[in-house]
Amino acid sequence: LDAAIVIILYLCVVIAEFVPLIKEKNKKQTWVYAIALSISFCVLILVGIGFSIPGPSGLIKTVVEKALSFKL
Amino acid sequence: MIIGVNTEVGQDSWIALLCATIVSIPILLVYARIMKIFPGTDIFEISEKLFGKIGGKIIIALFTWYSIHLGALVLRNFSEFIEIVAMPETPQIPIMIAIIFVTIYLAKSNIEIFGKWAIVILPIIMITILTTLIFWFSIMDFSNILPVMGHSVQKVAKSSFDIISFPIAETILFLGLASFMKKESSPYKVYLLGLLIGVAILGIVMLRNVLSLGSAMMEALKFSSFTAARLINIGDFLSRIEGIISVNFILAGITKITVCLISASKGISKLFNLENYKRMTTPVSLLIVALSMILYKSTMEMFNFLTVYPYYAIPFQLIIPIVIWLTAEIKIRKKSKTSDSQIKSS
Repeated sequence: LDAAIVIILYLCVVIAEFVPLIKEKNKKQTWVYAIALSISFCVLILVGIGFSIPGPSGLIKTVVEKALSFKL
Repeated sequence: MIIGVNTEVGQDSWIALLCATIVSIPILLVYARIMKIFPGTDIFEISEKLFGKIGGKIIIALFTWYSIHLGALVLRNFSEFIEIVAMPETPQIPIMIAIIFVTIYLAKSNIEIFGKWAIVILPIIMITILTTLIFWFSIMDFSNILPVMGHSVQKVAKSSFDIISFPIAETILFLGLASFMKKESSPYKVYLLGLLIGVAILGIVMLRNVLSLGSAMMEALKFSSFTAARLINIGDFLSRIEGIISVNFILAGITKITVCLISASKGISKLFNLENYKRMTTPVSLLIVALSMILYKSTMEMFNFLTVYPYYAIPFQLIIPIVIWLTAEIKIRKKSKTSDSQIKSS
């Protein structure tokens, strides 16, 4: 169900925002928009399917603990 | 709003809040001074002005990351809260999408609309808090606030530090929105009045929870305001008013996520030299949703991250603003010295 919701959402976004943006012919904005949209889509679809993607919280905790040199 | 301010010191929370308020005044004055030095300019433009292209872009990237990450943290808090208290069977993605749609609408509207939204919800939040305070009065036990300083000074100091980083110094995000501020308005007044109102609300909520729940319960509960609302039962007629608290949470949460979203969109636009930040609000908001989905594997992990967050936030809330402020002051002094010497020589 999650994956279906994500696909419908992204279809709506592409039709409502991305297609008009392409028509504006602003290349840089289109590229940044497309990359941001693709990254979030990949993450959300993988989470929706049930894949476990490692988040930044563990890394942040490790870095903070190393910087402070004590366990939190 | 959801997790509330740090409650590890139970009945001494008000002392921690008071200390945090006093210590945070100079920090907020630094933020206000940056706004004053560069009126009508946001932190992204300021960074490029002060540190050039490469240095500026590094600071912009760091601040943009912080805005996206904070937005994701807040969004996850809300989706976890809604899942735990109201919709345990509903997956989190639709809840997040519903919240983020409102924030996209607010971020895409003019900043005046967002300002009006904030003006409308502030009285609603205040009235709700005062109403619940009146209802709670019958179950308040004023002995719950004793003994004063029952916790060690170190514990209270640590709690104050936590309160400074979450939520007081998170107002650093307003530097990302500083370009919307009228040049003639005083940033000092904005920051200090905001601090006063914010601390008053937090203080009332904190005291209400301590007096009605007691320090042991307050330390054990994760959503203390919500649980405390469940205790209200007036003449078997008025009960289950915790819904009002949920409305409060959602209204305030949407506002905070919108601030993060606008700041992050402006940061991305500046990073890639894009003209219109509003165009980037939708993809950035979806990045926030994606990040919030992978932040934690469980609710307990979310609460555990609160011990890491105050240290993690130091570079964004303290180091970067202080570096910007000092660099700006030095550059201003150098400029005024050179202009003085030019006048003297002529």
